[in-house]
Amino acid sequence: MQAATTTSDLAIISPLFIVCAMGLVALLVAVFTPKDSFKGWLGYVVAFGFALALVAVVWLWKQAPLTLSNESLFFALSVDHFGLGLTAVILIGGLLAALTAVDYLPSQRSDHGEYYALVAFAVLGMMAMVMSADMLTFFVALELMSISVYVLAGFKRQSAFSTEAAMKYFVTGSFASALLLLGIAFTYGATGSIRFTEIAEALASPQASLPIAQFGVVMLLAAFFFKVAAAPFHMWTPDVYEGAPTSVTALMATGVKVAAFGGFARMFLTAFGDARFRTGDLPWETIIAIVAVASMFAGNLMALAQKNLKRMLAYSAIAHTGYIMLAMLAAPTSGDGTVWLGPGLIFYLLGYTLASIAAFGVASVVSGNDVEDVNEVAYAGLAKRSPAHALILAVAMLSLLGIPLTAGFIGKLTIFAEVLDGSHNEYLWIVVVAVINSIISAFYYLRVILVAYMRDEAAERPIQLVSSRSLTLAAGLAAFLTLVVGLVPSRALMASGKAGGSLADSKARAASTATVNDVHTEADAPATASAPKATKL
Amino acid sequence: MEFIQIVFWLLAAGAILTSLMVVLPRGRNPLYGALALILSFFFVAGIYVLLVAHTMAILQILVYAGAIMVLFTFVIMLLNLSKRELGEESKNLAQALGVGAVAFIIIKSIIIVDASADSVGGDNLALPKGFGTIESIADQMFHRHLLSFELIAILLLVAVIGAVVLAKRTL
Amino acid sequence: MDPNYAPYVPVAVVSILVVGLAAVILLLNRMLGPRRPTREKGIPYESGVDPVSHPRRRFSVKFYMTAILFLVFDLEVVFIYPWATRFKAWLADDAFAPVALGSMLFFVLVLALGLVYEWKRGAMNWE
Repeated sequence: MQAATTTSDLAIISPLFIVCAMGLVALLVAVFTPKDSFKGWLGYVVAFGFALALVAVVWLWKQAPLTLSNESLFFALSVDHFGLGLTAVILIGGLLAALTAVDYLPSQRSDHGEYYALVAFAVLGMMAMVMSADMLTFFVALELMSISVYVLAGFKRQSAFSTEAAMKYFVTGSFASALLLLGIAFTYGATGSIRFTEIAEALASPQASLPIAQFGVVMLLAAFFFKVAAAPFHMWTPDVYEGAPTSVTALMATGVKVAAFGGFARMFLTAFGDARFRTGDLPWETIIAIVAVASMFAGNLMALAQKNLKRMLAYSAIAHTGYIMLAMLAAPTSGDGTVWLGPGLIFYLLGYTLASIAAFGVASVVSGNDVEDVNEVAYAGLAKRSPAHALILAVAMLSLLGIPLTAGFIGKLTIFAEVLDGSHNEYLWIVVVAVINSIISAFYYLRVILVAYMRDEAAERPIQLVSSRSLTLAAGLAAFLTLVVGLVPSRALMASGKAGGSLADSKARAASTATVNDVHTEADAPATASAPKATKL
Repeated sequence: MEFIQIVFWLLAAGAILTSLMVVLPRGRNPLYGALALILSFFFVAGIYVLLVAHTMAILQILVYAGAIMVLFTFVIMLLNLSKRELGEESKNLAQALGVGAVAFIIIKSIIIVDASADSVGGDNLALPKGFGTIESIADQMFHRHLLSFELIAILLLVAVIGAVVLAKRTL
Repeated sequence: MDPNYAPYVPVAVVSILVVGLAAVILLLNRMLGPRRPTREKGIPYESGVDPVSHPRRRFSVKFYMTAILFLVFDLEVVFIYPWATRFKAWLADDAFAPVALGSMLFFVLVLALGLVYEWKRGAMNWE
């Protein structure tokens, strides 16, 4: 059946398996322990599961790209550096987000064990999404992630605010899913396949029906914009981010965003990545460029007016969506139409994940005693009350702003350099816009630091801290890693470059595998070709 | 015109008519809309039969007309909104734009599909043996889409958890 | 006639018969029956207890819970039924038999867990 040296299928999907098992365990524990007992320890259990899965991912990373011998797994998953790298980012985000919930949920009177099961299942969906190789797996994984997160958004059941957030998220999200399905249907109609690589092949043939594919791509794009909260489709974001429990918002800003970007980037670049399509017949790259600019302006300008920290971070998330989208522009293409990604996308997502967890972690810390409105009063004078948390908040804000020595700075720099490199300055204007937007964003990010450090605690409403070691640990670790990645970015950049470059393999591998059970020859060339790009910075 | 074509036009007209009955007469009891939707599902099931999608036709009736409609009627009866609560129908610019956009998409897709109808499928239009039967779907599902199948198990579990978490009075 | 459609001929005949018969009965009833409505005849249980409240009031959300839980388990049929039709043939294939069995075991196990969950949570109790 298969060569002895290849890793067995079960080992390859072990990260998915571990996370799934953790979710099932958490669910059982949730119902078999006494009703009113402390359930936070399940957070540690699930976090341990994520860590275990992360170890498995690192172990697989060294052997990637891996080939699955089972027919259906081979059809559905591509376990390459791209999928594994994004899975690692998702697991880091999920791990830290799970830790932030341990003591936060009891403080919000919502300590139920189902929370951790749902987090595990949502992360399972995210992991499957970034590794999916066909539209069906992609859709099912996206739904698994989305439905889990809809429920999580309404997890604070006694709060009308949280329920409203869940409702809004569910309605808009379902609409996006419907568009996605329509897009898949149109693409299937035009190409006769749901596998990304086969779609690319079918589109390359002269009798492909491009108008129908065009329709499909537009629908897919709309779903993508919904899921990552890009500008014309961002209306739900502030309300949902604000209303959902903060630990859930942390997961939405990190895991959901990483999975949506990773999954859709793979879909667009593998299935519709041909340079002929990107700006020509299926002009998704042009659309993304416009939407990126709109997102940056909408996010940054609206964020200026926000007093509520969570709402401000929601608009900041919209702006960051714009920056990350730039990484999808001007993807490098070789002569035979093979497309890959630079290190920018994955590195930026890592930096954004870490900074978001730190920011939302502090937002949870200051919302003790069931505070729902995390406005300036809630954290004014935080530096005097709790210097450590104020420092974490400051680091997070500086990284989101993109100040040197933080991960956010390196991420922005990498993306800008990539766009200029890849497009031969054709997209210079968009980089200029992004830089202007970064300057605008300085106003609201620095204001948070100013309020935390310079303003005095309001006498009539003192800061309500959630005293939690796990929460401080998670936020602190995230802030610390933000600095580490910002100071010594070379390894993370190398890994991101390798991951982005591995997208090029999918085409080569699809060509080299006539039948499922063949032993594959790994086409590493494009991955190594892009590695020097990574070290250049 | 062939007999099958007549059947198709009858079914299509029925599906469109009943679908319009679902959305158009507002202010009446929404249960009428739900019942019209069931009828429309039956017509669509008939179109699936014409497409030789046997399993889809059965599932359409079993799942949509059976189970999903149970949910719809439940929601209508749970809310039981009176005319006063439903409010007056507002006709504003956004609605007009929405209708315009939908109309544009429909017309555009008809033009596109019509223009490229010949290129779609090509020689593959001949149905493979056993097409549309439940056995062929089973073979597809368990050979190529096994992972999705297992993920759907988790998805259904999440649906159960979600229903309990969001709707149960005490947790 | 296309062999693909042949099995549906009886279905079509029955459908037309059912719809036609219902229409004819309703029509005859309307045409032949005398109609002298009074208020007493219009109430839901003509000779029974007088209604005490308006019928169009809100139902408890508990009904919805039952409905949605039914729906989830109803949907499983969609996935289990295809498997059952092919299982015997798959058993003969030594390479595929464990996959066919294992995958369905996992599926059913996960859903059984859902049942256990809902049972223990008391979702089936009428609180």
